[in-house]
Amino acid sequence: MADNSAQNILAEDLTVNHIVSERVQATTKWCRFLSIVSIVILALFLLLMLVASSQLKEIGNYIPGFAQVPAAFFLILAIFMIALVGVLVYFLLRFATLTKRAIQIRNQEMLNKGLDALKTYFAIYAVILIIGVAGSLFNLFNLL
Amino acid sequence: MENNYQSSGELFEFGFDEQSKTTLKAIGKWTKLTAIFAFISYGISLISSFVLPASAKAATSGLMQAEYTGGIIGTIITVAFGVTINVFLWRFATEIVEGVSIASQPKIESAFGNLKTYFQIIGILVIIFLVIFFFFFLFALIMGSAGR
Repeated sequence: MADNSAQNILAEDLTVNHIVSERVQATTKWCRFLSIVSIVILALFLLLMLVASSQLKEIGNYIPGFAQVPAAFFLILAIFMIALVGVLVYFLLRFATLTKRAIQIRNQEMLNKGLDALKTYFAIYAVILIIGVAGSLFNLFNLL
Repeated sequence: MENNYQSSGELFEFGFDEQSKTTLKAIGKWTKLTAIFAFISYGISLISSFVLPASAKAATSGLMQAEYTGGIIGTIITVAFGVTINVFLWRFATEIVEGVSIASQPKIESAFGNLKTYFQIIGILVIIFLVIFFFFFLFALIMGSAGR
């Protein structure tokens, strides 16, 4: 009887076995790589913005319909985009770091925090995609 | 035998508790939404590339026609890669929700395999882009120094 209940618990329990562990660790490895590359690209982009800040005043002249838009708008837009990507990268790196460590030391609380970071990453990503799709649809109908 | 006890002990100690199961289901929902909107955005890109450049379509200039054709080919390649990547995200989303709901260990294993492939393909594409960018940068440097 006791054996049966133990088997039931075992059957109903979702575990971090060696297959899950191996796959999650590989995922975190790639997530870590992507986060680091993104941080380097963001840093280079920030540097470029600082160097070419004088050129930002003329950027509106190169985009049709944006000639009258003040340069400050583009500056704020660029900073906003950098911040947004920065937040995304932060959650991806948090997932990678916490989950990898959680599996190594078999820590439940850390695993939950890592998965929570992945949830937030995909939630932000989905919202950005929805806004992007809405923008693309608006452009498509405007130009048709 | 001792190993069996040990592994059983490890299974009970470390796994997906109620909180992580709820989080996994939420991840599944968000990733499904992400994949759906990614597919929609690729559809819009395809339509845009065929429909929008009406001026290019009507253009008699060979250069503009070439630019138009190149744009369509570029979009098709991008969409093909994007759809392939997001198929893995879609599979992860469906399998993780199903796996947690019916408590299926193989589904959970397969779901994480798909998530791994999703990030792996993105990572490999990023490496390819970085290598191409590096060679362009090197080429520009060489051309610049040769021009002096």
